[in-house]
Amino acid sequence: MFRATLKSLLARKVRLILSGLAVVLGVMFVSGAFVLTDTLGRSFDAVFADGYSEVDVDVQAKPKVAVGEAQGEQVPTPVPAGAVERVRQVSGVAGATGLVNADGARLVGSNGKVVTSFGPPQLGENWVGESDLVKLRQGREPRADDEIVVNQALADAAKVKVGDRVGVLTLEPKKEFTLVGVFGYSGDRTSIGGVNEVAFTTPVAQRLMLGAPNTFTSISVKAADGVRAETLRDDVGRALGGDYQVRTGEQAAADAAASLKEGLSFFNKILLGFAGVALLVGTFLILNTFSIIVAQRTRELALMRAIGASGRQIIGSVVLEAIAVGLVARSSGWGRASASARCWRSCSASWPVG
Amino acid sequence: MTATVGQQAQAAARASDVWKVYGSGEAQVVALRGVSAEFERGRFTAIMGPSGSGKSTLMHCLAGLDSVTRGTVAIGETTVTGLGDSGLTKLRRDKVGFIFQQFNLLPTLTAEENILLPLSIAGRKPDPAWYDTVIDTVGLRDRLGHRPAQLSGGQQQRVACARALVSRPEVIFADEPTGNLDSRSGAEVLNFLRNSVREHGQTIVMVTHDPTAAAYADRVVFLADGEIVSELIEPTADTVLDTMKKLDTPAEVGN
Ligand SMILES: Nc1ncnc2c1ncn2[C@@H]1O[C@H](COP(=O)(O)OP(=O)(O)OP(=O)(O)O)[C@@H](O)[C@H]1O
Ligand SMILES: [Mg+2]
Repeated sequence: MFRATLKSLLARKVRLILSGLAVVLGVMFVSGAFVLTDTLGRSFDAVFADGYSEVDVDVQAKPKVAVGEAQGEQVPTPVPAGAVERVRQVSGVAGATGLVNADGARLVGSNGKVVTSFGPPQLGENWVGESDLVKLRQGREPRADDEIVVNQALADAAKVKVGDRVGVLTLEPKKEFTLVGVFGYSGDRTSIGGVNEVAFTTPVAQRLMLGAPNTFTSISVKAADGVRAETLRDDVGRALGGDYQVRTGEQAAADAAASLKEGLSFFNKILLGFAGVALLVGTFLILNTFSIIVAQRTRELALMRAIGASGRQIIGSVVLEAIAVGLVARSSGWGRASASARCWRSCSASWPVG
Repeated sequence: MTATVGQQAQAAARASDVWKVYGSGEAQVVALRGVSAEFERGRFTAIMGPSGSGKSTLMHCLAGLDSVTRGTVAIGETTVTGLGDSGLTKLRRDKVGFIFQQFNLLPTLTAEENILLPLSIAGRKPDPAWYDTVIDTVGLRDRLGHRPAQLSGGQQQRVACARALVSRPEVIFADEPTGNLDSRSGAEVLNFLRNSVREHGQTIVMVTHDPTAAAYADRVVFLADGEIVSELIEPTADTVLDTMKKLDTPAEVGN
């Protein structure tokens, strides 16, 4: 009986493969929609969690003018250099670094064209040294005013290498710099969520990205050993007074991810709508496939029944066919799934994150 | 009319006052109207009658492939009527064999695998001596490895006969086994069926339209409009033809 079913399955390879394909398509619809929604959400979390992983406490100036979420991105109010000094004096602080970090540093590639991004910001920042997250892969840090380093993803996209003279567009018109280093991130990544980064020396970054010398976008505070981030946050907050927004790194990451995800929630809803439709279509597709298979086999099954197959044996043979179709679908689905996963990872560099 | 009363112990299959009604209301069809018949062990019986007279229905009811509306059916000592699913499965495995007009064989299995399929479904091994006898009688030894598509229609029907015989059932039911064959391969199959009755004591009930085929049987039962209307013992093609002609006229008047 078992052998007869197997033989009849093998003899109808085309039917087996086609019905497997139908199942693959059905499953792909559904899982594709769900995977996409889920991966998007998780990659946002990851981007921000990584970005703030080195930060115990984050200090930003409170905006002078409150801007509603719906009105778009908040214009950061600069933090004066004096604030950094004041934070350093707070007990429990191991170190405080003023960070310059703003969207709008566009690198000119080796082909003379500006490297574009489909959404992720193109950050211009000051180089504050290596860390557990950031490591130079080639060259050295920028020391002179006309030296920059860029992240690996940007260097790859622009096809530039250490030693090249490259142009950068910022608040000011195009300026020429020498590329002295390329950096990457822990886990062998070339970017964090597809963000392109250009790092200048601090004074240059302040002038080009913020338009004001001796100011920073935020202060990254490192706690001394044994000092809890929450305690430090409160201490720093007291020392600086009410003009500053002081958060733990975790909080800052969560806030940033949340505001972004909120903006994208409509996208999630659309995708879920698609997933719902896909679920329905997929269910019908699979149901249909199997009723066709069984219909095609009725004559065979009827004959088996007439010559003594029990009801259970017939059901067993149908289930066997279902399993075989499932296996075929799985083996071809596997390839497809991992291919799309690879595609996702490589595409995520250019996926609209912001 | 009741055919061949008595010899109860001898009967391999028996129908008592069997009614079969398909559908209900307007669409109701009465396929069998109180049929009572016995089919003795070791005999070759043919069932004849015009198209739609209920021959296939009677056979399916006898073999437990279809349920009866009223009356009882028995195979050997087993009462088929009222048997549950597992009882019917057991009956098909142990007591009956089938030969249909077409689609007898699984196209993906070889002749040998098809012949052994009922046994393998039941999880049994064939009796080697009997298996050899059957294969030799059907004359298919050199064709055992072929698939049905590689066999002629007559050879396929002989494979089906071998399959029905190999488990030595109480009764073999054959529904127009030669309906698709030319007269020569038909004769081969019929000879083979008759020999298995003569030499091995097999009981066979065969539905047919062909008077020549019916002449191979020991006895012919005539059905018309769901009732047994006549019967012939030791028929010849001529007597069968005569009986059919006689039956045609009153049947049409009756309608
Ligand atoms: N499943 C069914 N549903 C309804 N009516 C049926 C069904 N099967 C058979 N019938 C009817 O029962 C009657 C007897 O049919 P049956 O198949 O037994 O005839 P038959 O004598 O075998 O004919 P043939 O020689 O053409 O094979 C016919 O009128 C047929 O239409
Ligand atoms: Mg019929």
